Amino acid sequence: MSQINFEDLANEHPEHKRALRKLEEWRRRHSDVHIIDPKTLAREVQGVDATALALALTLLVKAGLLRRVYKVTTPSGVLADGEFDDPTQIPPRLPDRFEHYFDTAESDVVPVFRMVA
Amino acid sequence: MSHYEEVEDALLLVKNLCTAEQIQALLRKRKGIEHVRISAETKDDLVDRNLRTAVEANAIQVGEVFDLIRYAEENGNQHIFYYKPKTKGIADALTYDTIAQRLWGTNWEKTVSDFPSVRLKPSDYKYSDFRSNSKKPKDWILKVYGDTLITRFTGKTEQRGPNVIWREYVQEPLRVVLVARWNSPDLLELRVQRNESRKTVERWRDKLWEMLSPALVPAEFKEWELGKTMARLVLDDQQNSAVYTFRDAQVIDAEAGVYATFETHADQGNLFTSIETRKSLQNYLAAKSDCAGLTVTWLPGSNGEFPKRKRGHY
Repeated sequence: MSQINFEDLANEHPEHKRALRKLEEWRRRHSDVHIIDPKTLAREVQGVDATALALALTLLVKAGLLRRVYKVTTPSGVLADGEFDDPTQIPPRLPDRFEHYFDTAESDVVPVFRMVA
Repeated sequence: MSHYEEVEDALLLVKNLCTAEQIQALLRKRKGIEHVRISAETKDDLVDRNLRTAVEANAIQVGEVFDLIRYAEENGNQHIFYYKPKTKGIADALTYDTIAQRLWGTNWEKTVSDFPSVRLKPSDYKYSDFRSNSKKPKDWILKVYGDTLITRFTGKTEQRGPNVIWREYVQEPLRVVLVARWNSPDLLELRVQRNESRKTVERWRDKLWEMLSPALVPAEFKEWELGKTMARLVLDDQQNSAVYTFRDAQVIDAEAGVYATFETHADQGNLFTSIETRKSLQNYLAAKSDCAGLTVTWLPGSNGEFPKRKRGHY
């Protein structure tokens, strides 16, 4: 997700310019992050409401810069390792953060975004 | 086995074990050479067309494909058991030549020259590789392949009539990779692939000891106690902030009977972005609580040897 990509998108969609700019700033501060959790993003990006952020993320997905993937929460409520292109690909059991396996049927599935470029 | 069969097996392993990114990185080393194409629509095409063509045209050597497999098999997604030799004498005897001689007798050089051997022995275990590390010549790696069947629950459950519950299990072949690494001067690692069952992991570890037994035995080693090392990592965190961060930690205050677990919500998070968490954890450990678990994110080094973040659960 380079600066140019954000700039082009903001020019094409001026109504989302503010949210895209905020996202770009956040991205610069988190250049090593490859998965965007909308919940974390909404908490960390100030001055834009959640709907505007969600629309900006959708634009990035449509532009091919992000891909929607799915993660699973562990019994303690944090995100387990691994992400899945489709919720049907989630295996019946996964390890939590301390290598204890849990049944994913009992867990929440969380849509997140993976950086494509 | 013919060279052709080895190549076929190796390409299949690359497809199963390596990421598209790793395969493309290998192809990119020969970018611009005839028959080398980097982009592909699918991973199958990347291996079956791009890599196969490059190998057949000798643009990429078979040895480089084996190196790619080695890297994928021997790093990550493993349980690692650490051991220290009980005496310096034992440690000093663990040279590459001595181990090879004890495992394969006086003709060991002939055996080792045939490695790596990627084809499995049906329903059995076999030595598949033994080599020293060119950068650290006193270190060595022994690899064992196993071929076994596992019974796996598919997750499908159905109510089939009153008081009858049907659960589906399937039997699948499993390629088992067991690795012993000697890190001179005094650390032995037994690496077995990750598995849900603790018993299976321990069975594989015992199998690896058995395969090693002509050369070394468990009685010569003691388990390396990681608790103190983990506590030191946490307490020295600020001096080493360019080297690692933490994502999860478990501490036990045995005296008070308190088990405390700290986890970041995001799977790429850093526990110590929260000052309160840092203080709490360090207070526990300064008060001699036990560190029972730690997820460490090792940050990329500046020497290029370690280009990406790496995560370890201890």
